[in-house]
Amino acid sequence: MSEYRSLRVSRREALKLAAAFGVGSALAGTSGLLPTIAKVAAAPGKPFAGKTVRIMFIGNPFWDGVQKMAPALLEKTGIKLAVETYGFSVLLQRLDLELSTASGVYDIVQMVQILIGRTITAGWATDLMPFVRRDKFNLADFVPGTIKPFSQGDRLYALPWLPDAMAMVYRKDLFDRAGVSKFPATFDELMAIAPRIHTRETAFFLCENNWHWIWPLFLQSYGGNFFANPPDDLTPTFNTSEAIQSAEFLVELITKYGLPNAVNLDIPGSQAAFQQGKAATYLAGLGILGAAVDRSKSLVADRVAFAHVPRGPVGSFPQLAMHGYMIPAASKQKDAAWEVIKWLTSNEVETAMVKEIGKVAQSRYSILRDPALKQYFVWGGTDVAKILQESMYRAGAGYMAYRLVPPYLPLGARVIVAFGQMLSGQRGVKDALDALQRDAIEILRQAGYPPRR
Amino acid sequence: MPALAVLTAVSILPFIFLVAVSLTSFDLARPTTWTDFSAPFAGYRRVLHDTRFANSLVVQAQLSIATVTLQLGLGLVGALLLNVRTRFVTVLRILFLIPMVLPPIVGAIIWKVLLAPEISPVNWLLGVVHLPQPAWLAHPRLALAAIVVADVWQWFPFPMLSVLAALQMIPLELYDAARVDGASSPRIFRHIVLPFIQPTLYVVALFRIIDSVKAFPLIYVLTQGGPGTATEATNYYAYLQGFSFGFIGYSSTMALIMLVMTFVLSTVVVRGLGRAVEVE
Repeated sequence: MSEYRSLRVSRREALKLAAAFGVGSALAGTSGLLPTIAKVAAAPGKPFAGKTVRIMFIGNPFWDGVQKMAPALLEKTGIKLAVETYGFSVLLQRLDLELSTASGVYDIVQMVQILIGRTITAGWATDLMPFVRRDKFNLADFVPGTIKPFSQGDRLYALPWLPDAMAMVYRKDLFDRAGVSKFPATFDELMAIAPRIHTRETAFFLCENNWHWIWPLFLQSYGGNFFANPPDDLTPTFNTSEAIQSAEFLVELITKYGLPNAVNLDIPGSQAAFQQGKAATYLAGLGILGAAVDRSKSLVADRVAFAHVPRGPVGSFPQLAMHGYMIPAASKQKDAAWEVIKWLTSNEVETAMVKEIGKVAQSRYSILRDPALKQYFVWGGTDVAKILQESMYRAGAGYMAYRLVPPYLPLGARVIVAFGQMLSGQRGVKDALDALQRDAIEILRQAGYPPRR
Repeated sequence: MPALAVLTAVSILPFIFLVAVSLTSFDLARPTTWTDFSAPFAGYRRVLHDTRFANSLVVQAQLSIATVTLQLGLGLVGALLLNVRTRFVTVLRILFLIPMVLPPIVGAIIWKVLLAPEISPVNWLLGVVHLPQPAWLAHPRLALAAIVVADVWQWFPFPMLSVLAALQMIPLELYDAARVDGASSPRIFRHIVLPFIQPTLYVVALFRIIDSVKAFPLIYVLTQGGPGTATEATNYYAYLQGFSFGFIGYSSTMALIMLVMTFVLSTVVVRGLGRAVEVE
């Protein structure tokens, strides 16, 4: 018999083989053998091949940059990214739903600054220290003020994504015209020059209407705070003499030298107002102030400079907004999620983000001090990386602790109501703060934090 | 029977759940509170002392009275004017429908653009004729008025179309007979038209009152309850408590109170409707 004949397969044998293959495939499919084979065949050496890490965050150009770089992550680790971004208020609700139901749908979500206390206390976040220790992750490269808000004791619940320090941007041309050569160093100086620059067409002062973010800069600079000694003593202190003084100052600054609709201006509205040249100074986080130098939208991009926030009678307390990457406690892919977080916070990605989208809100010393990136941190002739570092360093002293208390969210919303009433003339400053104090006590009681005294 | 059982379950079970949750101090960030019935009426006691809740009821009452009255009034006037059988008027009727068929969020965004001082065409026009250009949504009284205007703009076509349908059911002989007897137009309106459309007006008022309690998109987009709490209606405050702060128990308490109040109001209106039908 020839070799050719010995290799011939009869129809019956072919049918048997096909049936065996079909059954074998079904068994292999259900046992995971096929996916494993495909994994080995498609991506040898990639520990997370076939895994998709789902991410939920606030909408930000950062995520467009991430999508462009995602193929590199896939190549290196086999991980695919599925990123969902939302507006802030929708994000807060989605986070509540996801974390409180422990659905495990998402592997990385945003640790929102004003929810840090609540999220950690409720046990919704994974401690990252075991991963940090296992992989010898270099935490020392992060500015301490950016790590501290996410830490409790020796546990770490998130890594920084967007550390944003308060600063001011101002119109050099309007200051020059008014004969003001230097940006004011104190609040009193700021108020003194306001009438020289303020006009009907261009208001002197602009900020967003998140008063629980804006007011504390003034409050702490006058020696006040939200609480007696956060996080240990949460007795509210909204109507102390320091609080009243600082609120009176801020209300006067806005009502006399702000835009008529200051009470309605959210972040996009205030950014647009400054870009259109409607204000001479703008107080916000640096990440927000970047809109001033966006040449595609800003009419004043070539006429601005940046400065530290002025100091008050007690000192300077630039507020620091910290948002981070956290792994929900219910995530089923913690190792893969940690791999992605390491990648997102890596020098490689962050350097690309500085260059591609101008992300100056950086938390690594190696990025902030990199001479090759210095040019990207110079806005309007100002080294904003220096402002950011100094502010983050100052915040490391712990004055931002008031924002980390679990019931912060309803308290912050109540502060917004109080300033809405003050700025629209519905209530005087003392009256509004007295009402705020009473409501704050009730809110804390409702949240399980009855006042000590 | 099975269909009735399903319908009852679908309607009643969520209500029972709402009542149950309102008796807890359920806080999303403290999951164990969802079964904490240790102080079942704490939320109800708290509501009695909650000045912000009391304020929200006042705002809601102002909003409901203003919007329903204006919608009915404008709707009635519009219906009387459009009660003519011509092609032009038929086209006009279709155009009047447009605000009502827009999704409420789209309507809210339109008014946000109309009233935002930086880009407001309304303020631009005022500027052209040298009139003051207020920051509509930054002033407590103007902000509420703006919400009323936006709500009336969106929903007055509903009473208008309903009343128009009722007007077109009135036998023409009644008008002829009245004119022959020398009745003036106001008298014809008072003694012929109004009795005919009264039941329709009651029904429309009932629907609009119930809907006015749900005026959420406008508040959410235009003012977010501000400035201060000047436009914070009860449903918006309940939303904040439940979905912004996670206090689901307290939010449920407020929702239940709103439900009871709406039910009582609706009963009053329906009784008025019953009397109107008897008179007819």
